[in-house]
Amino acid sequence: MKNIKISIQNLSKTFGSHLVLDNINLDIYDGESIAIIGGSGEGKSVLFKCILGLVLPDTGSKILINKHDFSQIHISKRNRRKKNTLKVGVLFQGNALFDSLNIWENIMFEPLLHNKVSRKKAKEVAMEQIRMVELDERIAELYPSEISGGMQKRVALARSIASSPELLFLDEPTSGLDPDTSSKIHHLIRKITSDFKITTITITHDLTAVKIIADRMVQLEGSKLIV
Amino acid sequence: MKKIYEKYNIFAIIGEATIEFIREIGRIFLFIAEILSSLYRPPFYFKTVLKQVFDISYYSLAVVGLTAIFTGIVLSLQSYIGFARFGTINAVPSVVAISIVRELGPVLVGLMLAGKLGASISAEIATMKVNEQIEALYTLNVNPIDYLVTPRVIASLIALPLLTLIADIIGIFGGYIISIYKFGFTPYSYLKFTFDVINVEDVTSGLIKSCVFAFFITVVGCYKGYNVTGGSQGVGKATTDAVVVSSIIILFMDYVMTGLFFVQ
Repeated sequence: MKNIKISIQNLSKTFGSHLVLDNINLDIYDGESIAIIGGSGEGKSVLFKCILGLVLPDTGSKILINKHDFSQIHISKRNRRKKNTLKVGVLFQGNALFDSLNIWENIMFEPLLHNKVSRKKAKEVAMEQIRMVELDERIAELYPSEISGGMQKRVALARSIASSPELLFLDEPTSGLDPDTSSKIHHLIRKITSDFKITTITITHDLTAVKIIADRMVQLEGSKLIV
Repeated sequence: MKKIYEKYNIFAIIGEATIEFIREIGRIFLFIAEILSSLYRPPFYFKTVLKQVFDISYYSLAVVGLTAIFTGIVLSLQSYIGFARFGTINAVPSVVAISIVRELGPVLVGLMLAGKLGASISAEIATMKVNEQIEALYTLNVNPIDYLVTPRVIASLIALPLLTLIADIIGIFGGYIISIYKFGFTPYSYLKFTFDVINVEDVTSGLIKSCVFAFFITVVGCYKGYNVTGGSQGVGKATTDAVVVSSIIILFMDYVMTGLFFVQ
């Protein structure tokens, strides 16, 4: 029996008078890869942001991470609190790479900024990550605008796993990419998450992605979760 | 029918606008409180502050210098024309110096930087927000206020007084050049009339003004960028709003501070 990593209980979210999420209940187990599917405007991204702590759900909702309720704690405060929090990696839909930094600096952004490693060591680690996501090392010194969309996606994936996260969020991981590149990235994600046994939550509307990436899927429809 | 009535009810419109205005003021105060709290909370990004000081000062030097020199020249010309009518042209250097150091230096640098710095901060942060980079910062364990906002506020508090001081010198130099070559002042007499009237309080009052302007330019720019909504159209609106709002605040605060410093 696997441990429950995240338990979402009675989660609701309203914006003004518009109910986006209605009494969502979901357990996510340690090491599993779960996909949350649903059409546009069904609240997938809101649920994703609620779990991450970027958006606070309505009162009465519970988000238990390692059995501690973080529902009303914004991510900025979760980060300051060292106890019981999870190391999280996020792959954003638009990649969210920093334009003013080159590829390897993007991958090692946080350790470099907080002086956790020397630049030399950081570059070595970044090179490993670049190889892991099956990119050519020569792109390390380029800037995000100088590489293709598929490459940017791989760089964003490398950044999201650079800190060895316990929990990986993937928001529409292959949106805007051609089917061939998408398939390669789906298999790459599956390989990485399986190799490192990372608990993964994927938001998508692509059923092909679900088949490859996820162990289990749930569907959001009309603000409700269908398991 | 009722909906139309509600839509065009003047009291409802004024009431809604008032409530939204008060809400906005509250949000700005909370934003400022968050900036102030980050000053006492590690991590501190000293390298980012230094880079910002360099960026603001170095890249604004040309625009500030040009503005200051032409202001000095024009002020000198206008003062000469006016004072010549009363036969008191010796007052030209004093008027140019006091006007520039107390008023025109800080205000013009403030307005130029509201356009240049305020717009660039707002556009940069707004674009980051639209492209999910602000959210990415949170997930990378970096507080965007600590990393993006506070260093810019500190940097502008250092850079703007520095630029104002440079603008004061260049502005006085502009007046000096035109007075020497066009109005027949000797270098000695021009400088004597300048430094006889100008004192430390005149310079410091201008520098204090520039600090206040710097604070509002960056806070407004960051706030507008940080709270952008609506994609690329929103970025444009945030940028325009940042320039307009900070320019108005500069002119209003100039009036308030001039009253405080110089009116007994």
